[in-house]
Amino acid sequence: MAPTVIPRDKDDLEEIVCEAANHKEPLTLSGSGSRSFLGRRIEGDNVVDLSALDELVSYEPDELILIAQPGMKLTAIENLLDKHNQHLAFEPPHWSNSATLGGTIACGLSGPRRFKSGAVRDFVLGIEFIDGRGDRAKAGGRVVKNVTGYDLPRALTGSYGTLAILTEVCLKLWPRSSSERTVIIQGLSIDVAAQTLSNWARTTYEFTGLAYVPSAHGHSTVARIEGSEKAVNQQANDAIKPFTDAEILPTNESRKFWYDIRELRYITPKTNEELWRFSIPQTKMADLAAQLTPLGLVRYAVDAAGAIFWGIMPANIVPASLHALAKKNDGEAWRFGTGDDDDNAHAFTPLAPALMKANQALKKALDPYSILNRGRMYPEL
Amino acid sequence: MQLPQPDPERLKRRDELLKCLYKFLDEEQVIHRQEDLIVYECDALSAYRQIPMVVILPKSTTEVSRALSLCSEIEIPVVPWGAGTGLSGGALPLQDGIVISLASMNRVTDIDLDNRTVTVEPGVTNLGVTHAVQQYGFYFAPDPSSQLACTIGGNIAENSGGVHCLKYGTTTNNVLGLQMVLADGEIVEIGGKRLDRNGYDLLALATGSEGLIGLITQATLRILPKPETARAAMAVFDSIQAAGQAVANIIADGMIPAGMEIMDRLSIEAVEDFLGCGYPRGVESLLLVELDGPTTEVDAQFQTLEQLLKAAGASDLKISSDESERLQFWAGRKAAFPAMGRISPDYYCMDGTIPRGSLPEVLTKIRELSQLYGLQVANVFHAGDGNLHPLVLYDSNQPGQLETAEELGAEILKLCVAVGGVLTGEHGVGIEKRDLMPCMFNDIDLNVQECVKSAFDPKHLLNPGKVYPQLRQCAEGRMHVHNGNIKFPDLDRF
Repeated sequence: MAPTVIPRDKDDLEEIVCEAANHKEPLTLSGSGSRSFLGRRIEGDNVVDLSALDELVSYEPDELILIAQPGMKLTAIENLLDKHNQHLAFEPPHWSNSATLGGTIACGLSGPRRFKSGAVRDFVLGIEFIDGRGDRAKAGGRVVKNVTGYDLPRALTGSYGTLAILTEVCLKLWPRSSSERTVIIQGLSIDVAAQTLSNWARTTYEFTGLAYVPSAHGHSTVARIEGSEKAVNQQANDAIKPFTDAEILPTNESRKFWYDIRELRYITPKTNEELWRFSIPQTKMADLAAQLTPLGLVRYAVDAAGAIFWGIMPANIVPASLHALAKKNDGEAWRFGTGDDDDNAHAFTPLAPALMKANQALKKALDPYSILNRGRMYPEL
Repeated sequence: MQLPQPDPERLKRRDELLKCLYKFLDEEQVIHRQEDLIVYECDALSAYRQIPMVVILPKSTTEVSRALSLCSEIEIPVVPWGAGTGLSGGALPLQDGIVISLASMNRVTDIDLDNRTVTVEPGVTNLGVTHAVQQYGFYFAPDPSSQLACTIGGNIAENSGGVHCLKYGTTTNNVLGLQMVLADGEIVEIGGKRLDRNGYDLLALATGSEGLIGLITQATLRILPKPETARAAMAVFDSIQAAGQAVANIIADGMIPAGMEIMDRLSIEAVEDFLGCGYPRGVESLLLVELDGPTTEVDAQFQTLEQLLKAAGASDLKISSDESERLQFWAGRKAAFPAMGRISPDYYCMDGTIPRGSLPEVLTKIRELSQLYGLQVANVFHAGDGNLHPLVLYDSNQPGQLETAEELGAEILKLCVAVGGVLTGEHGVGIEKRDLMPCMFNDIDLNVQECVKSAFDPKHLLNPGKVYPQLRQCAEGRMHVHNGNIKFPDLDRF
């Protein structure tokens, strides 16, 4: 069992990283551990548990910002924002009660509203971090419009702790709509659903969720509309007009419905199954489903108007075949680890050589001794 | 402002450079006569001018790649050039360098309405993207005021904004894929027509990197359906602070307008003299608010908006009744910069962003600074996102006034940073704000950024002298010892 250190504060953490940098000793970073199935499993010699860095630094509703340490729980943040009718518009999935802000940013996790409102990277305005030299630095700021220096807040988002350790994050917040509706259409084939989602996405309606999810009889084609009561009502009624088998969920039921989609309640892998996520051009969703079927596709759900495809595959699938399929569809794939005995070595679609070289340049710039979460994304990073 | 000194050895190699360039470029793609080069002596920050050795106009990614390989090999610095509309001197040429203009790479290569993307070469103008798709009901959201002329390559390099950023984001929110040529000529493809990408977010790193990391040769952009309705309100307030409070109240109520702009008395009068667009005269402050979206949604929000504006003390509240009236409301705001030309021989446009709540304090202090330095300052302000554009009025024919204007501008930016804001919201650091970077970032912060620069461009040949105060190699191998104490002695790892 690798030794674990729990820094009490940023100074402790800085000291730990400085020592590791001086000795070029690798560190394995851990928050609440709720995202451990994402990315490659690394055998850390020295685990640094960041859960004690969990303070709220400031919440300024009128400025639409919140500054917190990365160990702060997502539920704590969301409960706080809820009191002011605000939310994290990128709708981060929790997948666990202990999910933290830091893990969400490190893994770049966004939910169904992502195609409309942006991803987590679009809500990280400023960061303080400790890089692989042990230097504590800051980048970005606390305002939306800022082009002062490189956009490291975005660039570090989704880097799985391989570039730096976040010690403070300034998030952009968004007001929460007073009302929403969910339109549910039953009985559409994936081809018709793909066209329907595409048509909806091209309208001027305020669609903030467009998905195709498993239901009792096949799949439901679903759309969420957010805004003021009268407006969402009218748009939802307009949206269902061409369809016979359709229903509309009111605000509370709609919220619950999209919570389930965000939390992947419709697409949970069972024993001997594994979960894959594909990021593709939305027009490829039906093609991808057709190509995955002969490989044993068990169940699937589609989010973001078709641009995110969730597939349950048999556990014995060869990862390279799915990564190749993702590439064939101008996309990329993520494999989700299945447990402690799964090294998830092929978690991400391989990068083209020139792109890998550019990734390595960034790694070298921030973590020159390669001590931070080495190998969590790719063996080369 | 200290510009990099030309290297006499490099200047001597001009003929050798030309000879190498002609190996893969036609004669009309290479500009080398003094009278032709003068077109490129400055961007829109015209106080700084330098004539480059050579300007080239590549027509393909391969030509850009060959040019960069060549420059890397013979160590000639490169300044990328779009339309030269930048306001921070980011495209200011170097006397011993080459300018690579991407203007000839100006084709829209793909329009994909089902995926809501457009793929363009970097020389396509910002408005050119919208023009390519508006017949289908789409548009490209970032709308810098130079959008008629400025290029997508420049927009990405600077992460350009505009008046609709609070709701629709800046350029970085609207770029899905890039093809970029690095300093050594390597061509990298990042992203595409999908939302998420594996590996590090190099799209984010490239966007806003001011030509210091690579040259953009192709971009896949997100386009949006044009909102069904856009409607504007114009409200008069008896102080600019009251207008600022109205903006705060609108945000606090949970509304995100497509645009919110404040103008002060000096700007309003100048615009009215220039354009006669029907703005009220003799008032202290004007607030423009635009809401867009489905008509029913805009109708609902406008009821609340009117109440909020009246409660905040708005007088003379007007709502646009049709598209032409809406455009007329905006015409004055969009003409604010040229209008300054009528009341002052020169103006210097600043670009700090501040937290919205600091607006009254900052405007009061700007007024004090204006009196202290003896120069007038007009204020136009992207109020929704806190992006200030104070315009310092001066006369460059009066000895010392340019320097005074720059000093006053620097004080305003320091003030922005002091209240928790930033040096630049959308114009970029360039050469203009380079020496102010230490006001916002300490040595360690800057070293991290310089390490990024050095990793991608170890010879510092891409746009040197811009953004960072001094060219230095990234500091490596510093030993950190904290009082000689080791805190976790039970760990035998070190």
